[in-house]
Amino acid sequence: MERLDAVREAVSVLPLSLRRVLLARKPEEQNGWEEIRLRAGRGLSCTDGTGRERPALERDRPIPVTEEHLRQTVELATHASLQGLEGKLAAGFLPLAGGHRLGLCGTASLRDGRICAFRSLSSVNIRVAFPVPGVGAAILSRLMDERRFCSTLILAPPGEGKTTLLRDLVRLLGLDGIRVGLADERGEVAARRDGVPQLDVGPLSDVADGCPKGDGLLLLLRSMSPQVLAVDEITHPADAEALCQGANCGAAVLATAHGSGREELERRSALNPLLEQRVFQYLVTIRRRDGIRQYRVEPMPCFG
Amino acid sequence: MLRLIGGLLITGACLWTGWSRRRWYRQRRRTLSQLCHGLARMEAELSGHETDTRQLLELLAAGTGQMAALCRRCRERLEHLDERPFSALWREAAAATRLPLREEELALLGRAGDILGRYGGQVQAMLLSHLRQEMEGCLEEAREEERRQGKAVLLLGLTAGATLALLLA
Repeated sequence: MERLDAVREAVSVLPLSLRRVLLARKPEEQNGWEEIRLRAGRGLSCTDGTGRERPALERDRPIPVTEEHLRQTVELATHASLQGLEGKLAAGFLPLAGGHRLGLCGTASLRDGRICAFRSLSSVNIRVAFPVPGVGAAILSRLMDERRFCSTLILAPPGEGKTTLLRDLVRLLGLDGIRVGLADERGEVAARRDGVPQLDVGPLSDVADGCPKGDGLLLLLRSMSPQVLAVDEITHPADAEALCQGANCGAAVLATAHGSGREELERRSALNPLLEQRVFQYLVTIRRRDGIRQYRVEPMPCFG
Repeated sequence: MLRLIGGLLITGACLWTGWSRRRWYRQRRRTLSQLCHGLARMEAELSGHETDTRQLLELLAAGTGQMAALCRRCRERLEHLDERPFSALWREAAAATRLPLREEELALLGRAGDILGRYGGQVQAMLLSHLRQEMEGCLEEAREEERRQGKAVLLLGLTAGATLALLLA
């Protein structure tokens, strides 16, 4: 899928009045959008490839956004069906067709201590998912030991392209004849529809989605005998435990986590079991300079 | 002869007015009953299967009666979801179905549009259950009114018609 198509697909969850304004912009401008943000009582803004957020203007004026626009966006994203999506809502996002993601923020309603709905919404954020084929090619050779993939952790702040890099590495591993088990809890990496990935995750990937990452990893391990276990965003100790189990069974591990640098690694308690057991051999960090992402590969430092 | 025909026509018109009013009571009671059944079906689907809204509308639209007609119209309007919120589409569908209900009963039905699709399945089922209980209260009232006033309006129509016919004769 072309990047412009991905942007247009992501924008399709916006109410018609806002969508028309955005789609009237020049295609080259639309092409750069990575995030589209709506804030009630304020305006509509777009974040481009440099990471800079700019207000979207119409005749030099900000485009007003109301809470009703936010509600309608959620309705469009869910086809007016929040049932069955409480788990996603509790995590603060909704998966969209095509692997895009709708982040939500506002006054939450709790049920049994978990978010079950939003009484009012203050902001929503559409994150555009688009594949960048070949983005992992430059670093993959450094992560290989002869024909074997070495366990790797990709570390970067939100929005820097961790998922995009993970997806491309999974694709490239498949092209190299390595079988990958992908635990895609949020459906962001493969964006499966009717069982078929909408985003290219290579010929040899088995995808477990719609279940917690830990459960997905164990399911893959039991049923698909993967050579590499891949997972996006380790946030919970259960995910780390499942990855440790996978690593102990002989599978290499490819995972991503939020963090701005190696200094933060030790402070991430969810990663502790993985770091203590020295599961990862390599650490990949992503930094953006002048809008261009730079990938740094280094051996995983020893902790503790 | 002409007077006789005139008298008969007047009596008939008044009788028809009374009869149509009686029919309205019966239709209101039936509609409320169908709506209560429909809401109960929605509750069961939502709490048991977390059925999505489109599927829910399709399930109910496949039936007969006013609830089916309402759900059919609402399902057709779903393609306008990018223009108007679901609650507005639901209310539009209810208005287009021309349900024989009072204003407050229509307002009650409209509240279902604020519930459907906005929460998790269990919460929706719980809120619809409250709504159905209120609707059942309206149904009881409608039954009582039909019982008390149904025959009375028919009789009133007949009496008014006969009186007018006699006065004009």
